[in-house]
This record gives sequence, structure tokens and C-alpha cells, in this order.
Amino acid sequence: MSPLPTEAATRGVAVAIEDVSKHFGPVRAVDGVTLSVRAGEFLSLVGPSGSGKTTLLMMIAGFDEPTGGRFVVGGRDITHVPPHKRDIGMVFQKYALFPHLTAAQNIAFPLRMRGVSRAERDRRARLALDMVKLPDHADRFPAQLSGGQQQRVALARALVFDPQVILMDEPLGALDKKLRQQMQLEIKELQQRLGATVIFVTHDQEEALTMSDRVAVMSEGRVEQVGSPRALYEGPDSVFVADFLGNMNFFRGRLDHATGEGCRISVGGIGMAAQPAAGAVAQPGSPVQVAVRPERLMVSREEAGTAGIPGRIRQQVFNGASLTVVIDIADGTTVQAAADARSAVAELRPGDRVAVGWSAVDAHVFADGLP
Amino acid sequence: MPSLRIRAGDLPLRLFGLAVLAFLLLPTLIMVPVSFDSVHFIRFPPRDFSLRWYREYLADPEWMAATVFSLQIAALTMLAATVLGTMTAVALERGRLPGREAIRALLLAPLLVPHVVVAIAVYLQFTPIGLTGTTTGFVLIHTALAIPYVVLVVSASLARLDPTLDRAAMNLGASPTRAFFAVTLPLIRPGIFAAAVFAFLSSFDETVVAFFISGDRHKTLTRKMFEDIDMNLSPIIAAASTVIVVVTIALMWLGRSAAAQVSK
Repeated sequence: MSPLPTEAATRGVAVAIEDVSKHFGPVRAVDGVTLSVRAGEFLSLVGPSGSGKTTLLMMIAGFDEPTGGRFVVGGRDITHVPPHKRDIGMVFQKYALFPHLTAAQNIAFPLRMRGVSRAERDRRARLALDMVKLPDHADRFPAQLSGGQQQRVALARALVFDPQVILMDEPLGALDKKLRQQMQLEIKELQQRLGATVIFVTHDQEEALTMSDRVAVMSEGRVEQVGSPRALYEGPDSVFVADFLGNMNFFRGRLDHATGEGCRISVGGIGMAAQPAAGAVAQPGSPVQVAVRPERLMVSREEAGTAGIPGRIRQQVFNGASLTVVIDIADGTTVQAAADARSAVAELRPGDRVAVGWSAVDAHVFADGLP
Repeated sequence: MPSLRIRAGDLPLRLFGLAVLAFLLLPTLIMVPVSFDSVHFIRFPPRDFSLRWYREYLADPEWMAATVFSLQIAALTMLAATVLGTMTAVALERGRLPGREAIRALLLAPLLVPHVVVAIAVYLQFTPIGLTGTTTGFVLIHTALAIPYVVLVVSASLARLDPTLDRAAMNLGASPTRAFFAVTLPLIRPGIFAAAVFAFLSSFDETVVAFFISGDRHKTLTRKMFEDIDMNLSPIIAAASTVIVVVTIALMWLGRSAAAQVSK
């Protein structure tokens, strides 16, 4: 394992985002966000474009002033501190390496700004280059580095001065898929070794799930839900979160009966069981949406006496590790089920009649506010 | 399929291009051979070769004074216009300026207003306060006339520069001033260099304003040439013209190689 260029074993500190807003006239880019990030935690902000995640990140970095609320980093209120005095590292979307400086000079830049001696700068820049596995590229200019190498230099530059927090703004967006997956693992490993606090912005929900300790899903300037990737994936609080993270099927139905332990619903007249309804679900009889992950949907050939919602296979798609079947439900909804390529589902052909079902724990019920 | 692309190899097109070049360049270049003639009047084509007029040019204190004066105000104008113009361009491109477009339009106005109008206005303003025929007066007005070039060239350099680089520098601990000197300035240096060349030349070549505000003791090379055309049309003017052309071409070449570095 390569040595660390940083002096302290753990320097990540806690970040408190307290009721932060950014309004541009009537537009609420960020609208009363409160989040606390623990020291050494990897927290991702995800959401569609325009959800306010990048604006929030830019405000933490100090490039934008909030119209309300405050930021507390390591116990210090930094809301009105200028960016260069914040001690926050940042990896930019397009790396923002200085084209007139070599990789080593880029990495030494924050140390130079802090008055670190030349010998010490060189030493730490070398260690940082080792850390990101580019020991032989010290004297290359950014234009002579590949996208992945530039990414590593940008990472080293953001880490080398032991910042209290590291912000990353879609840092992997420009890389191809394979390299992106490799960098995800490397960044995650580095973050854990350094004990760094990382706030990571991405629109790629899969990336957020892979890398984060916790994920905050944002929509229209607000945080919809915060939790561990698993908690969000398996227990979404809203249709938005259910739909945004991973693939999700939605069935339209009616609430029959609800208790604290679970509820009964009917979809197309077929009674089914589900988790307790999330949020303020109204009276029995009101319309609901039932969300079930494709890999949790159970599909069987419809025979006499088979329980489940009737449907018909429209298409079957083989995608390597698994198999996706597309099913038309009687009410016109289309759903997808993912199955092992060697399971019985693989025998189903387009046109076959099937029954679709699920375990109660895998079905999430939301009030159907949509028309 | 027939293509609409113009092929550089087309003979008529080539001839036409050469004709345009000749039309643009010949009147200037004719002065060069004339300046090497030995007779005391201008004739073309020249019939022999001598450095007589260059010797006369170099030996004449009035011509030398005018040349030195022109070079001097051009150098000072270059310094003033480059610093002020660069600061203006940074403010226009990177600052949060209200009415930025209006300011830009006002700044570029000297490019659009006929020089003779500027010259008369300046003459009327400068005369009562004794600025005509002084280095200060020349540098002031030439700087005002050169700033638009600097603003245009440096703005173009800044516009090509990713503004995130400024942010990155600040994020890494550089104050805004330090970020400018450590990151922005080195990256736009070739543009600033080209702008400085333009500023120098705009002053060195400037004729109309110089015609109005030159004094008896302090006159520019261009004004001196005007006077000599009136008095005695001798090939010394051709020699002086050749000097101007050579200085201009040399500086343009410097400016161009600087600009080529920008796009690298």
C-alpha cells in the first residue's frame, strides 16, 4: 500500500448544513436544506439536473452565497468565509487542472499557496502522485495526460493539503464506463484510508449507491430522503425516490385495509399484501401506487389457481448476468421483471400468459397523487 | 456528386488572390526600392543602389528627434494601455459588473468614431491646458485610442480560458489577487503580449491626432513625414517609410508568434 502524503491520519470533520436556501428571485434553487455529514463520512447528493445539488455544493465551496441558513464545518461557521480560507478540497467536473503547470506543480499548488517550503512541497507532491498511482507522470502537463490520469491528478491536488472536507462535483462524468467503475472503487478506498469527509455530487444514482455511506436524494431544491444506499433502495419514502433510485415498477391500485404492520391492496381486483403505506396515505378505498423492484417481482406461468396479477409476456431481453421480461398487465401498465437467466422465467415466450406477484416486504405503497 | 468546395488549386482563383495581395501590398512595397535610389527626387523604378537617404535620415537631428519621440510615446502608450486594458478586460469578463455591455460599447467607441473627430476634440481640450506637443498629452490620447484593441484581444483570451480555473485556484487557497497572478495571468500572457504589440503599433502609426497636437519641438514621425511631403518631397521619406514598415512587420510577426502560442 502506498504511503499517504497527508500528515494527519484522519482529518475529515463533520459538516452541518443548516436550513440553507438559495433563491434567485422567485426561483428556489435550494430551498431549506438541512443535512449533517459525519466526520469521515462519504455522502452523495443525487438528483436530476436542476434539483439544486450542484448549487448546494458550490455554496459549501464558497463560490456562491446562500440567501438563508448557514454552513458549519468542524465547528466553525464558514457561511461568510471567502473560498480560499475555507480549507475545503474540491474535485471539479472537468478537473480544472492548470494547463501551464505540470502534474507535480498542480498538486503542489495548494501547498505553495500555504507557504510550504519547496522541498516539503516536492516531497508531498511525490507521495500524492504515488498515492494515485502516477509516480512517473510528475513532469507531464495536463494536455499530455489521459482523462483518467487527469482525474487522478485532480484528486491528488484536492487531497494533498489535508482539507477538512472534500467536495466532488460529478468527477467521473467524463470517463468511460469501465474506467468510471474502477475510479469509483479507488476513490472509495482512498477516502476510507484517509478518513476523509467527502460530499459527492452525481446524477448517476448507481454511482451514488456504490460509493456512499449515505445518499441524500434531492428534488426541486429540497432533500427528499437521506439514508444508507440500502435503506433508500429498499425503503423509499416517496414515489420520487422509489423511481429515481434503480429500476422500479409501479402498479396502480386501491387501498383496502391498512395497519401499522402492513396493508392490503387490490390491483385490478386482485388482492395483494404490501408494506405499511409511506407518508400520509389516506382512507381505505383511496387510489395508491405500489412500487416493486424488477428483481423482486415473481413471475410464473398462469395456470388454474395461480395467485397474482394476470399479464402477458411482451418481450424477453437477455443482458448477460440476468434476463429481463417485459410484461403487459391487464390495465395497460407495463412492468419489468429481472430473473436469473437459467430460471424457469427464461422458458417464457412473448404472448405467454403469466401471473405476477411479490412478497409483502418488497412492495411499497404510496398515495396516488397523479392523474 | 459535384462539390461546392472551393479548391485552392483553381488557376483563376489563384490569380485573383495574387491580384488582391498585390493591390494591398505594392503601394507600400514600392517605397522600399525607392528609398535605395541615389537621386534627390522620387522616381520609379529606381536606377541605382545607394544608402544615401538612410544616411541622411540618420544624420538629420529633426528626423531623429521625431523617430525617438514616436518610439518613446509608443512605448509609454503600450505600457499604459496594456495594463489598463487588461484590467478592464478582466473586469468585463470576470467581474460582476452591472451594465457590462454598455461599458464595453463605450470602451470600444474610439474604434468607431472617426479619428479626425477625436483629433479636433482633443486639440480643443488640450490647447488651453498646455498638453499639445507634450509627451503626456500624446500618451494620454494614444492610450485612450489603444485601449479598445487591448480590451478586445485580452477579452478573447479570457473568454477561451475556463473560468473554473479561477475557482480551482481559490479553492486551493489562493486569494483572488493571487489566483490572478498565479493562474490567469500566465495563461493569458500570449494574448497580453499580442495586445501590447497592437497598442505599440496603434500609437506608432497614428497620424491624424498626431497631426493636430504635435508641437514644434515634439512631433511624431508621421507628422514629420507630412510636413516633408509639403516642403521637399525627397526619398528620405521613402527611407523613413521603410523604417516604419520594417518596425511594423517585425512587431506583427512577434505578435503573431505570441498569438500562435495561445492556441497551442
